[in-house]
Amino acid sequence: MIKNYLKSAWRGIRGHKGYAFINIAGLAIGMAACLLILLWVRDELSFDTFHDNYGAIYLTVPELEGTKYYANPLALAKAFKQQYPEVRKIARYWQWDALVRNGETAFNEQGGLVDDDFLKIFTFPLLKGTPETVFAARDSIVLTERAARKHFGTRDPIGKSLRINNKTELIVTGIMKDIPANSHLQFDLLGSTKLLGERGETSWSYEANTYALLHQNTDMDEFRKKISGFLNEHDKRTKQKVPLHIQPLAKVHLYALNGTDPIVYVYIFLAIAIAILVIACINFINLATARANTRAKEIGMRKVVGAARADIIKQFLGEAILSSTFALLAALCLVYLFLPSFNRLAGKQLTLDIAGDGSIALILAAIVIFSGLLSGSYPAFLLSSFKPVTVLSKGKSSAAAGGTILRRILVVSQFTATIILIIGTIIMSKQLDFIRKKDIGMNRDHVLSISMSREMRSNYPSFKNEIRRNSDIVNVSAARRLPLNISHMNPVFWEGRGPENYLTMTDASVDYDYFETLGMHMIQGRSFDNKFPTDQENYVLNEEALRMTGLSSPIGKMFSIWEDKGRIIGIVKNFNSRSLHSPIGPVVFTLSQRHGSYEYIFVKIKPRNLSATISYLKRKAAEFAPNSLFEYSFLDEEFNRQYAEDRRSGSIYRYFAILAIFISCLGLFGMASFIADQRTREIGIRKVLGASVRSIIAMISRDFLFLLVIANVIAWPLAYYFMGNLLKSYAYRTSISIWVFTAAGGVALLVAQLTVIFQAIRAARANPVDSLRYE
Amino acid sequence: MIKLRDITKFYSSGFVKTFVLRNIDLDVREGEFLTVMGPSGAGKSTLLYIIGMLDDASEGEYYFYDQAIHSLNEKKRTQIHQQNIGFVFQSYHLIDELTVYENLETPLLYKKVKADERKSLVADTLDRFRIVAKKNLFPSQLSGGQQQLVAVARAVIINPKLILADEPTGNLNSKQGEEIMELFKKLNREGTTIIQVTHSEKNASYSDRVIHLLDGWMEKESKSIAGGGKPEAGDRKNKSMEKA
Repeated sequence: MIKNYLKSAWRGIRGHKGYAFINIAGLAIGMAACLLILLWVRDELSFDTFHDNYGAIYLTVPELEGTKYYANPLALAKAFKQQYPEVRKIARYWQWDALVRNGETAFNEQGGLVDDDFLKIFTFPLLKGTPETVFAARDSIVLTERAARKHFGTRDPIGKSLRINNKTELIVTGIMKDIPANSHLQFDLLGSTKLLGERGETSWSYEANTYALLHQNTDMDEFRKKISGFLNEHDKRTKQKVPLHIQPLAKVHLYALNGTDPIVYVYIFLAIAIAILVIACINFINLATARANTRAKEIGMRKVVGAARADIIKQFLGEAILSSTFALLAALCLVYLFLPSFNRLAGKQLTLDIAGDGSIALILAAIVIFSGLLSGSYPAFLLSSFKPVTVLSKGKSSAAAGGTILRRILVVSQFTATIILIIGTIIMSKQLDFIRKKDIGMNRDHVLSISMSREMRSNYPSFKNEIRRNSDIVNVSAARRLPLNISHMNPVFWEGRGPENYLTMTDASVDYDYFETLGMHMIQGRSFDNKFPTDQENYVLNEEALRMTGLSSPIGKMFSIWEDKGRIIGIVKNFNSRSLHSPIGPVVFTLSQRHGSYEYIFVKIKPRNLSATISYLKRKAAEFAPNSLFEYSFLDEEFNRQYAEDRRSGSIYRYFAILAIFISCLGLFGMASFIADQRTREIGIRKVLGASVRSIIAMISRDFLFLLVIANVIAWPLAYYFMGNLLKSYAYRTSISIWVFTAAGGVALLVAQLTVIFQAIRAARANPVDSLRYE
Repeated sequence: MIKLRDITKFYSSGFVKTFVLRNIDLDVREGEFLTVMGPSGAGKSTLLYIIGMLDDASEGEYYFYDQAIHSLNEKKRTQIHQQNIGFVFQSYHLIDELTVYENLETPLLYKKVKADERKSLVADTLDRFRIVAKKNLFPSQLSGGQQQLVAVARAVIINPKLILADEPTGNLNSKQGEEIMELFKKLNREGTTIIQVTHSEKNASYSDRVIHLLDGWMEKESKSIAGGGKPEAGDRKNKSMEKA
């Protein structure tokens, strides 16, 4: 029986190649897109799941001034474990970026200093060494395979020494497997927190991620309540409330501590995947019902020779599943073909391993069955309901007329989804454009940021003096952080507000000429000046910080970070110190390096002789810090890097919107050709009666254009709602203007009209004699 | 075998009822060869479809071997139809996508006949209708007469008790038509009940009994000889009856 169905299905496919192509190609493209997105989603959802203790690992999260941070006081871990029996193990991760030197070769590596239990809490398997012993000695270092190969080649690194930051000699005690891409912690080497010394055990400075492994049966609600006051119990320096929260490891990747959760993108992409697949299935349904006339005779005949309705339903579902299986095979080829480009686009290393990965096979089966049932069930239902009497006795009947309304509804929903995607794409790129052009309160063009080694730090003043003499260099300054990433919180108070009532503000240690080099504007007072020796203790605030203090004439007022009292000498215009996802925060500038020394040199250079100037800087840097690497980047590149994620999702989004349009139009093309065929006789009669080619084209197009207008009417408010919500994740956002909607509607109309007109012209130009002879 | 009582069929569109059949009473004995005649639109085909369980009557009762068909559900009806009835149409209605062999096989598939039995049945039938050479051809590769031959073979393959034929020779030339009618006659002699709808007096002359429909009413019933067939047809009729 199945063989009989398959045969007639297969011959049906062969006999109507154009129709089958539209169905299968559309479905294949839809499936390929869906599959890529599902791989992406699966990867996003898989973050950190490879740890055996995945469900029982939590991060402690302090909340300062309503903002949550992963950075915890260094001294928290030990006290926390002592106080709460729920904690089985606890370990800190202190970000430790180091210049690693082995003899002549040196590389900058991303690393971390961790407590002994770190490798027992997490599943980062060791190839050499055991978790119990690798950090036994203070001067231990554990490398990933990749780092080991880089520094030692094929030699065995165990027991060999590496020189870190030109200062400390560490002995390699272990090799671990490379860190999987779907880990939120990314590092190439681990050292021991013992390297932090005394400070590492006693300081309440907020510096380290802290991971606690809890007992399985911990009552989390109870535990959350218990730990909430922990920081205030231990750190008596303030009366301000500093609540302590706890965040499961499972939420680190997809949930933000503050603001919009990245899981929103997962939802959006899932919605797009389903939308694209449904659009492709709608093509299938539309074409199958449009072709009902052709199939009616066969169905009638099958019923006459004894087929029950269930047999016919089975047959059509079978055909749909057969088609979707073909489509899946084609889709797999497409996925293999486009996976590398998609990986580049998405910044991932996704693979499609059908044989080795059971869940992939499951996803594939689910896609085939979903699309097979979705696209086959309506045609099966409709066609099996045909009465043989009607279809057989009256020859060509109006049997398919029943599907007309539904077909229209389906075309409308297809284009509604497509138009929403187009509008979304336009708004996303408008937003990214907006970010690029927004005045962020500083001039980041032609500013070079050079990372500062310890060696350079001691020679910095003379280096600065030396390079200032070059006429291509406009200005030189330095700071602890990039001006785009100032996030070092400290308690502050000022004239009229005592230390017991401190607020926290971000403080930035900067050198003279900072504001001048970065093109920031003073709106009150003056910037730091070496003519005033007391400026070493003085402060410059940004507008937002001034607003928080509520001081009306701030210049000359007392201001203090911790115990470091000074005076306010100037107010700088607000600039965006973090990504435009977040609003501008309060920032205090100080020349003091007590809370962290300079790590970047900023050099504003003239645009002429760019490369010559850079090589000059490199030469000079080698003179002043011969043992360090010269690493630089342009500030505007750093700026753009903040939005890499946004641009990625923007471009993924764009490609899939184009696909959706393509698939929709493929379906429209098929529909138009069938309708043109169906109306051949009518068109013939009209032509005999004197209708012009143009009026016939207009007649065929009119129907479709009407559907598209309805699709627009439905899509616009929906798109407005969705995109309004999406843009909320940006503190600074572009407007959603009406032209976006008209443009998207226009594009859809234009593309659809072009698709339909081809068929319309063909039908309209046919010789009426040919078409009428049929009857 | 077949008992129709007060069968009425109408279509409603809006407030207007269009009657196709009115109060038909008809009995058909097993082994009979019945012809339904009448002008176009008289309701002949509709009557045939109702008997074939492809269509429902609007009112009235239909008994098939004492089974009350009018009160059965679709599934049960399909089952009875599947076991007992073969159809032949004016325009053959073979499935274009299937070969001759597969077309013959299809009814057996729906009847859920086992594979080896199916094979031998199809082989026998191909043999019996002398179309073995054509078994791998598609309908479009056959002449009209050959297609109708296949259609009859397909109707016969399930060994039906009743064959319903709707203008079976309408699209054929006279020689092909005669062959098909001879075939029906032969099947009838072998015990199959046959009901045919036709315009042709000549075809009617093959049957035992003729009924006439006009505007949905059953007009009169007559033996085919009395129905005014051509004398030679009547002669043949008598001969065949003698044989039977």
